[in-house]
Amino acid sequence: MKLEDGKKIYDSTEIPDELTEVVNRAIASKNKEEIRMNYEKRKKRTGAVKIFRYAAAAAAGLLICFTVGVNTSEVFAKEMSGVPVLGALAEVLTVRSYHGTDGDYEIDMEVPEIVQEPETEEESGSAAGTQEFTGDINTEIQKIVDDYMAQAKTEFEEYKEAFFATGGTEEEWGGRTMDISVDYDVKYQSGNILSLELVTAKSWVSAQEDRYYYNLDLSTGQHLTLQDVLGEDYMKICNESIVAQIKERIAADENNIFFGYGPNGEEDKEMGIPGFETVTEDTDFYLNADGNPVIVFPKYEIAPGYMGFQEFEIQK
Amino acid sequence: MKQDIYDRTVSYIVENQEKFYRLAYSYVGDRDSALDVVQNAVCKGLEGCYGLKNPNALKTWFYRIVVNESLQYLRKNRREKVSADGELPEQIYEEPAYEREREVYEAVQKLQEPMKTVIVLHFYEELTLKQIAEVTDTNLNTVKSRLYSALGKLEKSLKEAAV
Repeated sequence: MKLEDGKKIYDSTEIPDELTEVVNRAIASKNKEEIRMNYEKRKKRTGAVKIFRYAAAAAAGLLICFTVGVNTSEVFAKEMSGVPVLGALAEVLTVRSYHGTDGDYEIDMEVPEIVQEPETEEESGSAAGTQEFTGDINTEIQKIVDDYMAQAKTEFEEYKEAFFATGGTEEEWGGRTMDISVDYDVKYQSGNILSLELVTAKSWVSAQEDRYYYNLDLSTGQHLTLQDVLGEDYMKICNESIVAQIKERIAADENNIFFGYGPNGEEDKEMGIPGFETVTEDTDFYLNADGNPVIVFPKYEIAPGYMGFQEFEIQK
Repeated sequence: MKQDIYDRTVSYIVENQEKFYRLAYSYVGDRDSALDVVQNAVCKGLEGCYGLKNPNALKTWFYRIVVNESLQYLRKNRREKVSADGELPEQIYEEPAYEREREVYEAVQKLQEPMKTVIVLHFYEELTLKQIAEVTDTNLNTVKSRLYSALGKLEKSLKEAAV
């Protein structure tokens, strides 16, 4: 008997053309930095470790954080408005804060709420409208957070179920947990303008982060648009600046890759993946400490996943 | 940028993808399932590569992932089939192969685990017995005894086929 005989058949196993594509796609679906970070984090986990701890210290004293447990309390929020405000029409407070372990989850949560100054008598007419405006935004934020928590937990439970259903053992599972974090950052506040960022993130085998932006004019009760900040020509201004900055970034580091651009910063339509084309009225942005708009593109939007979120400051 | 274990894993996977596919195929027996297995193995490998303490063990470590993914795939599918109609799928009757080569290959295919893994890795993937011990997370003596019993079984089944 010669077992080597069977090797010929084995070696002649037909390799499907798709193999390379399947492998490349699997590789592309993973993000090295995220995996490395997760690994580092698992290694040194001792209790809750914050991943996205943005310095919430915009303008000293502007933020007053309270830990009020997991439940929102309308009454509590109302009482808070008695806290002295530092010359602004509104302030951003943490209404829900939770840090700790909940079963399979490590949760770090700071949920903001915008609280407006009590109306003065002369202003009560217009202020009633803006109270409603911030109320709607608060409701929206609460809903985003609640939905996010529910969705993350469902996802993790499904993963866990599939893990054991496919023959995984308790030992292999090794008590892994999912990290969920909700955080916010006041990017800019001056007078009646407020720019707020809400960040939701979860990480387990892979990490995912979503950001939401609220740019508000509290005197009118309107969302600020790029056009409000930059004027009629906002598209042209943004597009020129972004293209220039993309080229700078490519030139600065050969590892910086943007869809639609070649290694020398030249436009590359052959790449097959459309890259940055234009901002629109729906493009995400926030105002930075200088009051300049910063355009934000989520991961994968204009560059490969490992490039992360891409931000472009536009000079006013 | 310095090449770390992640980059090494990526290049190792890209270079050896055909081997992984063949190995997966020898377990699951069809193209789409084998592609699934390879895809899962690549994802698992990249997710876990930072936990690999000895970078020189990359090869045996990744074979282990492919073997485990293949076995898991089989387990899962068997379960699904069992739950679907309440019994194991019927064995498909195959014409006895005329060529010696196919005969040997098929005898190997019919081997039970964990004997089959030893034969496939040793004779087809040309791993040493020591490497197989690493892949299967057992010691060398266990691999040897599995190899001998696999050889005994193969000899028997090939003799029967020849009669």
